[in-house]
Amino acid sequence: MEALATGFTAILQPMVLLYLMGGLLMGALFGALPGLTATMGVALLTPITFWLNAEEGMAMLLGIYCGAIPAGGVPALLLNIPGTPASIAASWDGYPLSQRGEAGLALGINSVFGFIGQVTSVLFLAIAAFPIASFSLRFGPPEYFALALFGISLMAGVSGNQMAKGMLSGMLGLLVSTIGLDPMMAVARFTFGQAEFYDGIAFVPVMIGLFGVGEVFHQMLTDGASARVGSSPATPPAVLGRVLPDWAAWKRMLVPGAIGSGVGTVVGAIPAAGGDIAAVICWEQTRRLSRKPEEFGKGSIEGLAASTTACNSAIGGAMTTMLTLGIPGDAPSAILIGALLIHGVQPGPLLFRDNPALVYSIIGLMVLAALLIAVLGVVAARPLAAALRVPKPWLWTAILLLSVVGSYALSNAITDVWVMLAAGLLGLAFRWLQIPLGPLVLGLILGPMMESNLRRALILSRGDWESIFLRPIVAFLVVAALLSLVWPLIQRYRSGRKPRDPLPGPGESGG
Amino acid sequence: MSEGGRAGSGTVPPRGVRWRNLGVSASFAGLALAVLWASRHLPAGIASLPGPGFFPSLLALVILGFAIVHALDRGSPALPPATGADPAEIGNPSPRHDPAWRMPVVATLALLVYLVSWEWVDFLIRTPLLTLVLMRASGSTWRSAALAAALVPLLLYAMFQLGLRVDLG
Repeated sequence: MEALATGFTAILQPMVLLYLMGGLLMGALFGALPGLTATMGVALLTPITFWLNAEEGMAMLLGIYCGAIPAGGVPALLLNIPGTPASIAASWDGYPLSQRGEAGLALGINSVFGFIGQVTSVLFLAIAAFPIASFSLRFGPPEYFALALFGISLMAGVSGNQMAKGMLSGMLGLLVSTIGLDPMMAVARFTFGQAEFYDGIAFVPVMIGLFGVGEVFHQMLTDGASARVGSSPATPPAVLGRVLPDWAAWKRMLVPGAIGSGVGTVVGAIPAAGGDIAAVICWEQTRRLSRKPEEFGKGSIEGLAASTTACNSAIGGAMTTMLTLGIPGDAPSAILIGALLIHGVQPGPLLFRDNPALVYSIIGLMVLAALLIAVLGVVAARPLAAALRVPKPWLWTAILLLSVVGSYALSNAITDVWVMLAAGLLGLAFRWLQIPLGPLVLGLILGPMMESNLRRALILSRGDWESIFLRPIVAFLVVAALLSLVWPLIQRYRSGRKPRDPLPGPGESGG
Repeated sequence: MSEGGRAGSGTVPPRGVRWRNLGVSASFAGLALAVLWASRHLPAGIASLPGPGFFPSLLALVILGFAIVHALDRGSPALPPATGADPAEIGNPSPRHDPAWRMPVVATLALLVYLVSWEWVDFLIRTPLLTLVLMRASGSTWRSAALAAALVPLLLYAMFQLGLRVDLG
């Protein structure tokens, strides 16, 4: 109870609330502007949190994360351009609804069901996180190694027909994580005599490079010609109409909202899939269960409610996995791990034992953020729509400069900026070659955990692999890892025999 | 966190995509061999006491294996999205325009020059110049570029140098 009180008291500090509000506004901008994502926002602003305490830093970053996802729905609904990958499914029904002259209703549903999604998933976090963390305290080195293996395989598994590329990407992340001093014997590895690399490759500059610079370079490559025109080709509707749904509409959206909350939270908790995948799955399931499936894709309020709730619920799911196991549920939560590490906080089961107040603070901040962004979503929809006209050269230049200065500011080291630039070029190459970035990030995060636990497990078992893999939890996780790799191959074989409707490809999950 | 599209229905990818995939496989295989070569001096240890070279070598072998699997894979390329989604946003491979390589190349070169000049040129001189080049390379007008060059570096200076006391040089 003391931790609960301390945690909630900490978030009521004026500065924490100020940073939360600032984060929400920044997140709303990053979400609403096509080309900017929640991941990019969290990555670019993580260096600033270095000067703040853990609560203030988390307030700002959670504000960006929780603000960007619902805000990404604004251009999706008004212009049919998803602001973040998480709002792709929202555009399928939201845009036709806006075209029918009900843009206000679409924005209202986006705000209200975004709020419902975020709050229900945070509720799940509050209820499930402590038991999960308590259970995972029983994990030894073999279990942690298997968990990391499971995470990597799952990431590669959801890369669809890009599975081999997903695995290669994940392995590259693991390989990069071995740069620096060996964790057990302090032998320098792949540092090429550079003392700057003894501590390993800094994670945050890599993330800034991959998701900031890499994304800008890729947009320059693909949108170059249109950028010269200056702004978004479409214009938001002039009349928004009524914002809040009537009672009949509420009743129709109740079940889709419930499905969205459940599916979104579970999918978000899987260390592979974020809001984009959750929303697509949920939209499809709700369509199948609906009495009016023919309306889906043509402005169905049920479809919009389901997809919006799902992509927002994924936030709480992803945070649950991140906080309890130290494994990111999506890209923004991967960067949040880096941000917590900056403050000396290691996410994982020990966090719940050693610093439960911070966990309560995070839960409280997420509820506050959900509430504030719901209000902001209704009040600030029009200014956000106007912000869509910011010319891309301004955005690109600002992001590149912020990436450079932000990477340097972390530890006043020019090496970090070089690393960031290299990561940016790698991000561009990966995007161009269609190699998923997610497994790379997960590999970077899980690498140290995977290596040290595998080596410890081998030492404890005196080199006996069999005794490691026969432990129940390890066996379960390894079988699950194998299944997650084999299942897409089976699906591919089956889809090769039976044609099916293509679904849109997932983006960097979670936006 | 995944990117790229879902599998289509078993069609063979176009020749260009196939060559690109082979290039990816070759690059990763090359990397794996390089890692194996670079870690030859790192002790691999024994089964009951793995050394510093154990994990990187294991990873290199796995990478080599998946590079071969990928080279042999004749899976279909990612499909374009079924919606009006922005292809760049969801990691779709099909660009809406011909690739404009000039922009990222100029931006990269400008950033390289900027980083090399970091030690010798003051922040308030090198950053406006970089801003000007980036804006022009992105297709902006001279007027907008000049405005950005005057405003953005000052904002960054105020935020980081004056606000957060970061020595920007």
